Amino acid sequence: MKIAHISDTHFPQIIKESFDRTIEKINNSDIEFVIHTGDLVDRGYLREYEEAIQSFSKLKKPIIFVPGNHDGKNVGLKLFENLICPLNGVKEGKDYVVIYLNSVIPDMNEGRISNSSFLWLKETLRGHIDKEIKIVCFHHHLVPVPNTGRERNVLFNSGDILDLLLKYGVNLVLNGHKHYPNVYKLEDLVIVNAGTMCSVKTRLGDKNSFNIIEIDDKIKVKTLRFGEIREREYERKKERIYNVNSEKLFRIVQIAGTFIDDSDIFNKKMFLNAFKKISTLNPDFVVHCGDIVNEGLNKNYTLAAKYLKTPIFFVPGPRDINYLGYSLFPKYFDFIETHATKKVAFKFLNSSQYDSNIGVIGRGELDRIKQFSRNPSEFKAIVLHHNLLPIENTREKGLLEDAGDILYELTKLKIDLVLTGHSSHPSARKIENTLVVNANSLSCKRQRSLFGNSFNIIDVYKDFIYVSEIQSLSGSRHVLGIWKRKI
Amino acid sequence: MFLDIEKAKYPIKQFITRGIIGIDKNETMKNACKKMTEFGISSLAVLENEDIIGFLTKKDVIKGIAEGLSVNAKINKITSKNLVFCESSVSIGEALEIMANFQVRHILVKEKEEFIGIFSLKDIIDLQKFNLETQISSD
Repeated sequence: MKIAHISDTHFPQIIKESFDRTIEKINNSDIEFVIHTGDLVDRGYLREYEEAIQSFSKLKKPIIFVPGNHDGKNVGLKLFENLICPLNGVKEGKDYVVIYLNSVIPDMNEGRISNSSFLWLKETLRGHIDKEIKIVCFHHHLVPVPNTGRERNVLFNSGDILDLLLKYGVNLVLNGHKHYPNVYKLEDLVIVNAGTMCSVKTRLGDKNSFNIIEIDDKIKVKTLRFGEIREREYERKKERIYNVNSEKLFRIVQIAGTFIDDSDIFNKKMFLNAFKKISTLNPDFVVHCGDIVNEGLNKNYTLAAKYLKTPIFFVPGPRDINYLGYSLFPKYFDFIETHATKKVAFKFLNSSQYDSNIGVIGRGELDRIKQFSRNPSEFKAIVLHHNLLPIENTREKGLLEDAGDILYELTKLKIDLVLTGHSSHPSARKIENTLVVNANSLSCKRQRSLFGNSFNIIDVYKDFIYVSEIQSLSGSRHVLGIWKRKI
Repeated sequence: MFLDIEKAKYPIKQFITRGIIGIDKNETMKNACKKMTEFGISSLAVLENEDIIGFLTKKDVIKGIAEGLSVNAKINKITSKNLVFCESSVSIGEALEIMANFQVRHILVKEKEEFIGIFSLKDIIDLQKFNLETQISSD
């Protein structure tokens, strides 16, 4: 099947030439249907909707519209429903299903899939489980997009949505919103963001663009920026069988959120049990992804130094540097920037800011990451506290401010592994060739995993990476996943 | 309640870890045990030229040893060759039914003619806690 993906037309602020050229290209192609991922109009006014309807009457292919945040301004969602199409819906073919849904919070730029829409999406996916190709569309972006400035408005519950889409084997997600075309493959899911088709609001002085997506054994995404075509192609099949005879290279124990304190928040029993277990696991490296102490106070650091005697690599979390932590952390723990052996090179990043939960890496550090990527070790890992990808069972508060650009660069540099420790929930997802693993809190009473406090072990074999979560209390093991390594 | 009736209706693909750990058919029982411990699992797919030709569980190894086999015997001797599997779209309830019929604790999960994962009784225990929704409000 072949579809066109357009977005963010923002009527009436359009460049007419871009609109006409796109419509002409689509009309003269073998595209089956078109999906518009929101922001049809700019302010949600009736006149804007009428102008958009008039202009789209030139399109000779079937089209699906989803509402965007601009369509919802000035109670525009009512007009959208009355004049354009229902807010949520399904288009079904013999082998495929397209599920489109509303992610707009009226008069807000931020997006959210409401609980009722979430349940509807789950039931609709369940009802179409046998469809060969499953496509889901909504306006707000599911994962951070590069070149879009400070990243604080991915879909509010994107962690849960991503989890749902992966569990139901959705093949393709189409988003708009950020006016910058981008494609990622996250596990088996291809996530496509469209640029703006014809609006003056482009980023980086970019051209207007739209995507043509072909799905057969592969998913091919062609981004047509006028005068320039960019193509990405992904296999739909993934290797599933891993042979245990692969040589084991090293083991990393990844911990986070120890929250050491003399108060109730620090669960000492969990901590001691977890470290007893760690001593039996024979790790080659132990990495602490931050929030070592509950608050950056002297009494907590004194305790932490007493408890954390095992050789550990640390990156600070926001709790480690608040109050007097910025001065105590370097006094009690070494923060080294890199550690390299023949087999693996680590780069440790400080993503925490004083008196703020919001993380940032910054452009200067990005240059150093580029330098690090040239390290001759065969496996490269980046360690930081804040999240790069949305985490299931959380809301999007843990992402780095510049997650869009950092994620883009790390995947482009083909960094093998990224370890993070925010949001107190375990997660492991592969995006492009980079595996991103988040650790739950090891011993804080405030944690989000239904299985209780935990830490991760990451076993790197010659052919694959095997990640498990270990419960702090019992030491029992849950497999988070297994991924083929790029050789 | 042993199993939430609602959850039993949901497709198995929602609950499995994708990926199968496999071992060559010519490996010894000792090595298979070592690998199960190393990976923290209780079953292995048995491979011949990258294809799954059988299935080996801890129970098979215990039975083999009880019957007098040496730990250095080839796993081929104790591997179940009749693969018990289901499609990824079947419900948990249906998968459990198949497992009960064949009296097995693990079932291979297939999608588009390919094995994609394993569902085990341990997953049923985890399922008790599993929840996709993190809200309780209606909207």
